[in-house]
Amino acid sequence: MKNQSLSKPEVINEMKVDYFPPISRRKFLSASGLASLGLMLKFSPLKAAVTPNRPYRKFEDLMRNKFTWDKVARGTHGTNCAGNCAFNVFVKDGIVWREEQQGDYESTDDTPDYGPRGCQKGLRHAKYMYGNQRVLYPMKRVGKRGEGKWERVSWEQALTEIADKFIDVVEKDGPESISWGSGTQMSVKIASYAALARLVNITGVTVPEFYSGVGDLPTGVYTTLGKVYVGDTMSAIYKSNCVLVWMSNPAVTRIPDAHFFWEAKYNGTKVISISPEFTPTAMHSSLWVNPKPGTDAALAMGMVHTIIKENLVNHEYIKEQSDLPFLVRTDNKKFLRKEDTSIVSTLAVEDNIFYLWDKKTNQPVIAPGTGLTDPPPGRDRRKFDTIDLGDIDPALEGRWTMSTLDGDVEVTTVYELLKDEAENFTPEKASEITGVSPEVIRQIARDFAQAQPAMIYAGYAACKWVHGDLLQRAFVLLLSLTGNIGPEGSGLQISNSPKVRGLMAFAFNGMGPATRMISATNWDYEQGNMKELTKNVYGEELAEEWDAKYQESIKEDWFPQYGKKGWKMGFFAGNNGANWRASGNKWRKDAFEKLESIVAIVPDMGVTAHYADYVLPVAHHYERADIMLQARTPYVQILDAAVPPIGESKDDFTIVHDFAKILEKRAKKRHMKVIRDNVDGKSVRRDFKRAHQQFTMDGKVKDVKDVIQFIINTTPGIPKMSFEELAAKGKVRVEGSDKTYYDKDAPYHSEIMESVNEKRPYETLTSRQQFYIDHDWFIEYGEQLPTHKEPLSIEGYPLRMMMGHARHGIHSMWRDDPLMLTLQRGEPDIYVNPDDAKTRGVKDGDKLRIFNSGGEFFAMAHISAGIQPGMTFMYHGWDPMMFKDQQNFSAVISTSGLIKPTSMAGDYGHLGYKVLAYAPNQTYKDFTCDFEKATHG
Amino acid sequence: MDKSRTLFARSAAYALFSNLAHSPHEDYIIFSDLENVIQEIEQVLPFEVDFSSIINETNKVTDNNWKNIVQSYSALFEVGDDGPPIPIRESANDSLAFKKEEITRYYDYFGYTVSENRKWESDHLSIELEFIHFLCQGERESEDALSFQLAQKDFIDRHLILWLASVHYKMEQLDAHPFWMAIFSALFTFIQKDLNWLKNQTNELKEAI
Repeated sequence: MKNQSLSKPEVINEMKVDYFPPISRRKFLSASGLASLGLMLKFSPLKAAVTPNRPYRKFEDLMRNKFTWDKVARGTHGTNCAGNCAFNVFVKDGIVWREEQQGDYESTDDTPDYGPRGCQKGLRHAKYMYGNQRVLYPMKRVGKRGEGKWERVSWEQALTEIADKFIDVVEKDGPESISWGSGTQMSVKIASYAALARLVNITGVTVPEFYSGVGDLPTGVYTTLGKVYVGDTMSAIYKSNCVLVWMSNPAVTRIPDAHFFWEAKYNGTKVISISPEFTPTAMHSSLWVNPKPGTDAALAMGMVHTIIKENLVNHEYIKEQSDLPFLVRTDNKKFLRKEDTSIVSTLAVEDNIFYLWDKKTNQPVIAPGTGLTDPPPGRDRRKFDTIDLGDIDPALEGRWTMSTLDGDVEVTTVYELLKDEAENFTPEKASEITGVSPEVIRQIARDFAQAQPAMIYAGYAACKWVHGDLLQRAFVLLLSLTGNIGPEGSGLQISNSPKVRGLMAFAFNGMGPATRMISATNWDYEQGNMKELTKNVYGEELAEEWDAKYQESIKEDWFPQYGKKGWKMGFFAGNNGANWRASGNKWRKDAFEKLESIVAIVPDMGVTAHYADYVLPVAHHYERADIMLQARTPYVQILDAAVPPIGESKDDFTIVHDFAKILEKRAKKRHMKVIRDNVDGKSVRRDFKRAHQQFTMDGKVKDVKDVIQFIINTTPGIPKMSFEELAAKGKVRVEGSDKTYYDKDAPYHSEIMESVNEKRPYETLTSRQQFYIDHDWFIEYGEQLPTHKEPLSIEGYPLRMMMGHARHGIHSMWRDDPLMLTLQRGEPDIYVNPDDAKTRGVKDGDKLRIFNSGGEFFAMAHISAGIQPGMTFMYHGWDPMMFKDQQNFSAVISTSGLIKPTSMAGDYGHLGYKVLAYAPNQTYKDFTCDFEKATHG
Repeated sequence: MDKSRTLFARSAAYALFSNLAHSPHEDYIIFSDLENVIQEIEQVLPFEVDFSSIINETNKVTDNNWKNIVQSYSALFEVGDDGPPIPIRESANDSLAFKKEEITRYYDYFGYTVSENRKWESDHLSIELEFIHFLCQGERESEDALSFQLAQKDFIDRHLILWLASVHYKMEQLDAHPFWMAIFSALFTFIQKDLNWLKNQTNELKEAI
């Protein structure tokens, strides 16, 4: 498309079209320029008007013609709801008019089928994609940052200026001073993410990892099981006899899948909803249990106490699968290790060989499967070792004296220590903490333990508490004690993730991994000086103590530290980074707005784009091709371009590709030197003069369909076929999905099933489900075992604010849709308890000021008896642009500096920095606030 | 009144405004003899209009100020924090989104097809104006002129006039650049008068039938 913005417009005198009768034209025009003007069709192919088939007399005549479709494309919404709903997309005259659920899903075994899948957001997208919020052209800021003044510029201009700035920063401060933050909006679209992953691998910029960065990383699960991804398909719910829906609200957040809960309930399953507020899920459940916010771990431990006390424990299961029978020294609270017992073992550093007490021989014995070294490259030790106990009958209870290098010491089992810990949470004591009746605690413990199989369906909310890892460890403990990890219909259902080897193969092809990836939590802590915030809000003592541990972890090289020269340039692609961050007001002021250059790559306007220097338009879901894998359903889902990208938007691949091309061009023009870089000890040569050549694999990769085909061809579990074949089907069942859980052939993680069914060692220090962590820091903080710790509060502010995913949006996507807003209150609202409102003189609909020492924001009062006294609740995703002063709830979520020490622990078997497995979460819950009727705003 | 000349003047006026309301970032054309063109249109139109402000503003365009004019168009109609302040596509106005289907039905009924790269914005003001221009040509060529004339009246009445008033009002509120203010003010006046004229004409024609 020609862009003439930089010079005076073209002046023409020539005639363009001529199909009026010449005589009348000449008679009238007398050779004026009117001829060229009056006879020109600019937006339409040259075509004379035709007499309609039927005379037109009134507009109703238009409706007599049937509205037909030019084509029906397959598609879905490449957003991060994990729904992966197959849609048919109806196109006429180059416009998407409507969509409809594809619907033809199969079932698994005797469970209900997966379809039709979809929700009101997806069914609204055909309208939303043409909405006024859409970014259609590259934009450059012309006013002050955040002033909202923009200039439309060409792609060439935008990418050239961005590339020049990119090179400036790299030459001065190195690539790690640039962040390219992606988000789930992109990562779920595997080909797009692969393209970005390749570019960041080539350029060496820092990637703030968003899984922990948004507080979604189940570190407690990883701590216990050595794996994060342990979820099954949604149909597994139907196989369960008791489902604890804990800190989750699937009736709202999993609309296409919620039917599995209600069908299971109809089939006799007990569905118990556990949440402090009365949710739409609770409404449909068999029982609603409402602990005080942040006391869930006490409830779980109360259940643990009942299960142990009432002998509901599956002893055989925990003897084999868990570390509960492992011996622990009572003098120093450490596991008894082989290196404790002989100087030879000490010299051999046999610190991962552990002991059981064999009841048959009344002797300590080495626990099978322990003492394993790291596998040599290419060899999976899990295939060769076993945790099979053989003839050993481990004692779960008892105390013994053993001779060690330190002399005689008393040892006991983890199970004994657990019993002691559980005594702190008898149902009566747990009731005092949680507000839940002791009898209810006992009853749900019995229901859960006796159901067989039983499962815990938990969202990511637990990860968002500072001590959420303890809660997750308690979740796994409940499951393990009752033998509920392994059988179909059991387990902890939080997440699974595709093993898309093709993605990494594409990203690293030709140069190997050279990517800087760090938790966005760490990145924000350092770049936003969040220690200062903790000091101001939670006190100096806590800030100093936790920061000391943070610095020690960095010093010990347990966690990496990037961006030491500061953060200079930020790319935000596939995320609305200035929306969802905790302590967003401080982050924006002290980190984001101080950036030298901000580039937002977005389909729709939002607060991140608002503050950017350049906004680049991305194609929406029906305007692009991609491939998606989401473990909730056993299908690979395609996105196919129903229509071309609207305006001047482009798909993510094309943007990254074009940027690489211009980066290469500018690097050549500027005679840029090769960068001798080092990533985590690995030397890397980065030559931006070859950026595009490298990115395209010497020209072999031309468009996103090439990437999709690469991924199909190289990822196990995806049926092999061409993109076109896949696009014609829309969705295809993945391999290894005959059961409600995935087997080894599936493109999803299934290692836990192997550990349970085939007795393979777990990827933990103890090779077991590990409930006891004897890392010094865990002992120092009393977190060796699952337990409950009070959530942090801000002194002087009595109300705990809870949040959850919204029904009418997926994070900030569709949150501003006019139709969706009519289904809510039309503006951000906050739920408050009637008594709390009354004592503050607040009526429903009043504008509230919500505040604490971290900041304030304004929202409409939504008074609801479903909210406990002492708490408030707000659905999330509302963009700051929808609030007064562009401050949303993140202004009071002062938690960005709360990185608990144990989350940075390392040098301990499986614990230590591991991308997408062990990193500190951004937390969002450990704060309190207050509200009052707003007198201004 | 020479109906043929009247029709051609109206047709030319719609083509002119279609071009002038179009994004200057793209194939924007200003004719060397715009003044003559406009004067001829003014003389032949069956109602009185004054397009002199367009001529005045066009004459002020220089290489130096053109970029500013282009930017001001973008800032009004193409880019902005909550989308552009004034949607230039009819369906981007929330209250009018439901009318998009009717626009497509009009185009289909009369065989007007939008070029491939413009289909997504088939309800852009420029394209809707061009459609009226297209209908004018059809009126001239077709044996069923009444169909085309009635369609012009209805399309303006049911679409253009509804939101052009709001476009014009918002431009005034936002103190739009004089170049664009001149064009859109003239357009708004022209369309109102043309609609009235069309209503009278079609009533007469209907009665004659």
